[in-house]
Amino acid sequence: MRIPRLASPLLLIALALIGGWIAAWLLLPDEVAHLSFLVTIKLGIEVTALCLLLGSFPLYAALRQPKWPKLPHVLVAVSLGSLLIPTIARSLSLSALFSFYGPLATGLRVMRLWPQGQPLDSSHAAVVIALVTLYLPFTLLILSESMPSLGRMPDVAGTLGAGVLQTSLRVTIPRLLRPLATAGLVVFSQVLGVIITPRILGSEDVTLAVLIDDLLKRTMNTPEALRIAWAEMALAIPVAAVAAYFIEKERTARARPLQPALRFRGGRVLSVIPLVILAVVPGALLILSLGHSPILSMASLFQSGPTLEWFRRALLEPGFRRVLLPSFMVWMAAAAFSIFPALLVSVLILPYPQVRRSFRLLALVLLFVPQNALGVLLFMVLSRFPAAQASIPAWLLGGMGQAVPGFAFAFLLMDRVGDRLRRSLALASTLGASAWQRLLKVALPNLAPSVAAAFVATALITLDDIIFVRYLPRLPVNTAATELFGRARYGAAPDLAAACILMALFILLLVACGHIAREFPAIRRRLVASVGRPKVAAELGVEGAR
Amino acid sequence: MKWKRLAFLATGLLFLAACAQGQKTNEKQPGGPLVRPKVTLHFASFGGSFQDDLDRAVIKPICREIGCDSQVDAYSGEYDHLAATIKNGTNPFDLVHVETRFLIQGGKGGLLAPINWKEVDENKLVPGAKNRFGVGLLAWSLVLAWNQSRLPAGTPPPSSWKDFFNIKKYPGPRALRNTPEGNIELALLADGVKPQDLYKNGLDVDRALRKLSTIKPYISWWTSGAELEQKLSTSCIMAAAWNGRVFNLKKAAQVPVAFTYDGSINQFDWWVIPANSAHKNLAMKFLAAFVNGQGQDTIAKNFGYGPVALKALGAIPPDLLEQLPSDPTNAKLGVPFDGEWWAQNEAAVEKRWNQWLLGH
Repeated sequence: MRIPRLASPLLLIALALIGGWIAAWLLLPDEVAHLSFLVTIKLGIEVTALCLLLGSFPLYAALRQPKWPKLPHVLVAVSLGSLLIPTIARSLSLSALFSFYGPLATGLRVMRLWPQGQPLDSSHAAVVIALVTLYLPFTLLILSESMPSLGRMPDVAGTLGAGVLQTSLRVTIPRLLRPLATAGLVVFSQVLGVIITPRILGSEDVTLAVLIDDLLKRTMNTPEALRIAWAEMALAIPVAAVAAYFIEKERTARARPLQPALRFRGGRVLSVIPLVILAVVPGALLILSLGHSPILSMASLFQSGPTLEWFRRALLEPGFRRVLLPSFMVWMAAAAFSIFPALLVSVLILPYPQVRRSFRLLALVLLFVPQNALGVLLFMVLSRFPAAQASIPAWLLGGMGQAVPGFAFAFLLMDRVGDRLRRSLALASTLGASAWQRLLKVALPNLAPSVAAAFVATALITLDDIIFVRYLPRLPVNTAATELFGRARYGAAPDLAAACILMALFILLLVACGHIAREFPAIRRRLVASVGRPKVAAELGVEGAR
Repeated sequence: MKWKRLAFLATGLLFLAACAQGQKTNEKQPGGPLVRPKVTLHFASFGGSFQDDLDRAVIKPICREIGCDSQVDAYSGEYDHLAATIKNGTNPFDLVHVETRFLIQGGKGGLLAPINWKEVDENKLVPGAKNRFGVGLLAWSLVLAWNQSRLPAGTPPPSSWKDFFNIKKYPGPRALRNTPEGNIELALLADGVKPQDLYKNGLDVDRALRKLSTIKPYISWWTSGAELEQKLSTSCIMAAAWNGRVFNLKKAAQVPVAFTYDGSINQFDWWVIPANSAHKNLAMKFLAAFVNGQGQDTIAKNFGYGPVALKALGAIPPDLLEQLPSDPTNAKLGVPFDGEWWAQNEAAVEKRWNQWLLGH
């Protein structure tokens, strides 16, 4: 009976991939595009395989550390934190880390693990490693939702006499196949749209996204770029749809384990590996921002000690200060166009589970498709309506573009509390609450944490997006992300690294504020309880009431 | 409830203040002369600190001189976007900083307004900075640059593109810009083609790619100035580099880099006026004033890019001038980039280039 359980998701993935592959192949215009397609697929498979390998085993081990019960949470927190670093800064810091005369490349050459004279930073291996640091958090976040449900099942199987292979084939893999497939498909679909990382590292990998960019910027061959963007979408949409379907399935199938997992011997080191990988980029960025050298050099900090000069410059630099207001406006526009429609849709479709399910799937697909192709296609559509492009302010149009993934994020966050909200509303209605009361006293308080989270999510999108703000409006908007991109074009000083760290800290502060706001009622209750009880006890004349 | 009332009150006050502000700007000055609002010329450049300096040293003073306001926005050379907005009539810019590629393609595609060379004095420009659809903004070169601290002990510095391809004599990675423009030329020069014969019968792309294949595993590709600077200072022994970036590495970062103009590929960046610019006449006035050289020495001092105005060239100290591509001696050592040839062949060469990168 195990084979059909395994076969059904595998069959679905195979069908999606083959269908998308054929559609994309037929859409691609020429031999160069076909070659680029194969390179993209190869890169996608390599990155996906590594992400799954480095995400699944360590997380499995982390869940089996009774002495470190918080380790899985730390992995999730670090994964989320890693997403705060803008892609440009991430790629520049990795480029500095892999530099030919740096300790890493030198060490590899000395050990004869890397050919003499050949660059490491622009190699295919460097691109794969950089993309793994970028997408490993996605894998960990997806797997961390499902893996705890394994509980003690593998241990029980072992106790009943099953070997490691038998346990893996009959218990662990069948149970984790769906989340593993989901994580793999999400990573794969994201790799289809990578452009900044191979570009900044200096790789010769001409991926589909790079080809689209070349066609648009260099030869202005818009029709061909459009065809390739459609091909990218043809490949990505089925992949994203299957991933969304699996997530939906997993959402309903997930169950709390009856008993937590047993200890996994020797797993501590394994479970810390993703932490080390995810710490590389922020660590490199910090080292680059603290060094004295005005170029991004890893050796500078160790040669001449630390300085906070670049942080000071990043704070005082007129260029960065000038983009604060436009960035804020774009963020607010993106937040408004993401959160309000998502709020409205979430409340309106609450009584209809099938509609909710369809919206969830749609939102997931929107999130998973490559944003470069989405941006190009939106741009083509918008170019047909020049009046709209001319009449809407640039920051508003940029924000509206960012609201496309923002809406998907916001809706998914709000939908998480949908079932609970539905029950609460039904209960409030039974108790005689009016529609207004149900909205103000039940719906909004329940949705408030999701709204706060969606607000932070739109900030993240705004800080990293250079596609929607550059392409959709007739007049490009100068946001923090575009400023970083412009500065990278004319020379990247460590103030760029410092600015990225400050931006990440700002988001962290937002997250902390959101967390405190969400936990505020509980904190107040605890405070009142701790202060109030002795007071009441004293008033009642009861000693030692606590 | 108290807070809600206060919030309503504050919102109302803000609304009233906003209305009053709006009214204030629209009302006429009682009794005073009718002041006609200044026209704003809208510029676009590539952003970053270069754009800040361009605005401060060149754009603002000239706009003050011709009596208009200015607004400068950044774009990243998204020519497709620029072309689309010009075609659909929503382009907001009056003057755009572009590379030769867009100048030629945009001019042929009817996207650019022709320059009125009766109004703009071409005699004030260095040779080559004039085009039917554009006025040179700055002069730059693709030069052979090297990091002196990475050269093998006792080896003389490289002197030509032939040395760039000599892996035995100069072991280590080389940085090249990931575009066919410039790379095809330098590969042919390294393969023995004489500078004067380079464009004679068109560039021999296959020959150039064969030459580039000899060092392909040692190439580290760069696309932006930042990557070039980082690669030349920490990762590569030499590079085909924008002269301005090498200048910056020497000046600002004190990195021991050097370069030669021998065999350099000399180009210009351009000012162009989009065909649907709302203020073509004023833009033309700006260009007429621009060729007088206002502020171009600042760009040269800060970024190492050559001025296009002869007057600005005369104002530059000799020690700086000898580092610039506009210096007549340096210009003679290099090869002028043939934008026309590229505009005609770019699509085909680009395809062949990508095919080569993909291993075919």
